[in-house]
Amino acid sequence: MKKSLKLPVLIAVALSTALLSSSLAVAAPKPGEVGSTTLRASHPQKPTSWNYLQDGTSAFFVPTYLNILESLFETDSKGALKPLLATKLAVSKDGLTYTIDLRKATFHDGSEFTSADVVYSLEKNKTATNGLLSSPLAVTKSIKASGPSKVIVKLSRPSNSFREALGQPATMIAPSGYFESDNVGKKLIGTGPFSFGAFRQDIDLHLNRNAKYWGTKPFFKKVIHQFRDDEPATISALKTGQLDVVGMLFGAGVDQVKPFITDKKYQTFFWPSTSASYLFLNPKTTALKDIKVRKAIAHAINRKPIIDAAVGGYAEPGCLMVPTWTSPWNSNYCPYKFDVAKSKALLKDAGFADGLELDFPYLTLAEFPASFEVLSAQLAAVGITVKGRGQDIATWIAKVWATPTPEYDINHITNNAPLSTFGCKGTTTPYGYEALCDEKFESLIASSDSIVDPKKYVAAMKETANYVADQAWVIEIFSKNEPGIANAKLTGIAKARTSMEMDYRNIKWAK
Amino acid sequence: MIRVFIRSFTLMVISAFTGSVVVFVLLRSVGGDIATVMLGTRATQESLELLRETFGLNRSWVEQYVSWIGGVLTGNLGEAYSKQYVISTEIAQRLEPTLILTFGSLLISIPIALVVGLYSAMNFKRWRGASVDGIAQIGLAIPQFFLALVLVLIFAVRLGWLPATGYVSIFTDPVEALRSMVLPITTLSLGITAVFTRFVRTSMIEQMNEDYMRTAKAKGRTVRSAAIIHGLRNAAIPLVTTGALQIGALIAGSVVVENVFTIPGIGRLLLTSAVTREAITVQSLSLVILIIILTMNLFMDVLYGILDPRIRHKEARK
Repeated sequence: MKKSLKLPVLIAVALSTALLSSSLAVAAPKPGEVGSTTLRASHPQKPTSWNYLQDGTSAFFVPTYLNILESLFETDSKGALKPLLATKLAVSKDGLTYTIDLRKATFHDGSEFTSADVVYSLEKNKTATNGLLSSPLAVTKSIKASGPSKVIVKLSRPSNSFREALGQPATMIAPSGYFESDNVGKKLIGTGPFSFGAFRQDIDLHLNRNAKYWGTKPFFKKVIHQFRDDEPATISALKTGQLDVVGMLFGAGVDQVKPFITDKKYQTFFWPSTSASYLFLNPKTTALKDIKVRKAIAHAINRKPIIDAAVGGYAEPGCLMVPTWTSPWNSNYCPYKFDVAKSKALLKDAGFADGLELDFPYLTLAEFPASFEVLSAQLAAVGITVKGRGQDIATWIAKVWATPTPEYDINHITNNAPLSTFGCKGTTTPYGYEALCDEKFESLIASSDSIVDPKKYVAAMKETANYVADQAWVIEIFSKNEPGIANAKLTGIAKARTSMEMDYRNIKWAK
Repeated sequence: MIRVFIRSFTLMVISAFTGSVVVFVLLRSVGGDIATVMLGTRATQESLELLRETFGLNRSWVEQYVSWIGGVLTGNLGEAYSKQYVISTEIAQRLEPTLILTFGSLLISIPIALVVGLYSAMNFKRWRGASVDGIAQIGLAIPQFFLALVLVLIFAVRLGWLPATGYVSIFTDPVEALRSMVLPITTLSLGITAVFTRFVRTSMIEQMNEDYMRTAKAKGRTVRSAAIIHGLRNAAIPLVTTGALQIGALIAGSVVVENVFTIPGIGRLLLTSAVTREAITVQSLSLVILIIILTMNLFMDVLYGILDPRIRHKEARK
């Protein structure tokens, strides 16, 4: 070849090779496309803090629990404990000593997970201002390491609440010294399959796949968990392909779920609620001290229209203060079924033949405004007039919930407080703050938690739940099935939740 | 001019201080605080007290205000109670989308309003003028959240031309940034365009009857050229003041628009902080917004003086 031809030929070969290789190269799938390693999910709530010793709201646990932070065990869909950071649990016959074997794992900061971290974390959780963590750990007498991978917990009395909490956020583990470090409140460090990535205040949190995770590594390298409180706008974003998973709709978005059920491009899922939605009555209101009036209110409630209006029909009606999914003490027991005539008669008997007026400050979020509308109409039908006024969550907690001098007569909340947190020494309204000290109820909740025999425990809890329903200070309406929507090509979306989490661990693209 | 500036600046400082006190008192009067929000339905009297002590919320209002304003005066807005962010950094990061949104809306609204308002004024006795006025009325009446949802349904969901939500920084990808801001700016500017259009229309109708307009026409100008060359300039002077006054309305509108379109601007931060009772953030943010509005007003006062010689002469006579 002539020297003058060499350079153009070389250039031509190089260019053709580049063109050929670029045409053969497969472009990485974009987010939303099958094979993409980025998952874009949304939830309506944003955490107010990243310090779980302080933050008791469910919004904190939604993106973090099981994804970033792991507890000793997790709770499966039947309510049983399943190993997580712990591999084995042995409980002494008297129910006072728990021996917990731990697995080998590594924290996101690279440090090894050991028994010292469990002792540190449980001691911290026990003194947390967040009652979700501290309440079930209050019965611990000592928490001691026995070698690097064993922990022995001694209780002051047997406690079923403690045993159940082993599979709940109460036993989330952080590395020793974490709460004294600069990371607290800013960055979470756990052992989960995802690490805490970039966080944009009230916009999103990035969860990055943990390459050193002890278990099966998740498919997605990155999960962008977005905080979107405008549910109709969220649905639009899903339709335009800006989102892959929309979790736990509870506001205006609930009414838009129906068309997705039959749309083949999407899948809908309904997480059984871990909470109960109920009316509660103020023990300090004179008229309500008469059980006839409380029974009259209970008889006036027709659950189906409330469920349809407030949560799009996605709920199970119920009369017991028990979430419908796991509790073995749940039943169909319903002492005061919908009966307008009976309700009117009871009111007349109680001396309110001409009617009764009650103050009903309701929350201006989620299902509460719609449920208020239906409830006020149902109560009006039996002669009870409610004076409604909307309150945002902060005002409502300060004036209705967490105060010894509450300003309400009747109210509605959806809450996952177990029955054990009721009782006049507890914090769950209307029983808490020593507002309602019923001797029989106090003895029931005090004794049931200490029962070691599982069968006797279930029987005692059933008796407690039924007694609460009989007294009608709290009147359960429904247990929600929280709807979510996802791209139809995704699999592995959890069918139930341990606590309040959106579990991203097993989600992947279908083959 | 200097007198105008000094007077306006003094007024601005007093207004900013008064505004900060009002916001501070209002926030503490609505009920609830960050401790109640954080602890939610698991709050106990003891845990609430403990958290309030941690955050310094159990101090007197005067102590809390002095502590905060002291920080502001030394340029330190502090950290959010939640420790999730440093307030000044967060505000600085969020100014970009909000400024693009508000000033983008203003830049679009004013020229449209001038053209449409002028057209309407020149045809105010005909059906064409009345119909423009009618459309402006409709623009005023449509709520922003509703307009946003309709625009998203048409241009994002149905046609797929524009993204439904989100924001891309102009420094990351200018084309995507423009695409992401089309619907929010359209939403925010519709109402304000209607306000400006009606303002220009009324102002132009007044100007059309002025002596100088008759003189211009007598000199051989057509109605249109007299209106454009002479009338519009005079009609635009009060528009400057109206424009400055509407900055507040635009920022208030940005709260709604940023929330619907999930734009990480100061409007969205203000809303979420108010809901979660992040009092220091709300106070600081309100002060920043107040200063922006007052600065714009100051700027407009000065500009007004430059545009209208009568103001300058009146001040000089004082």
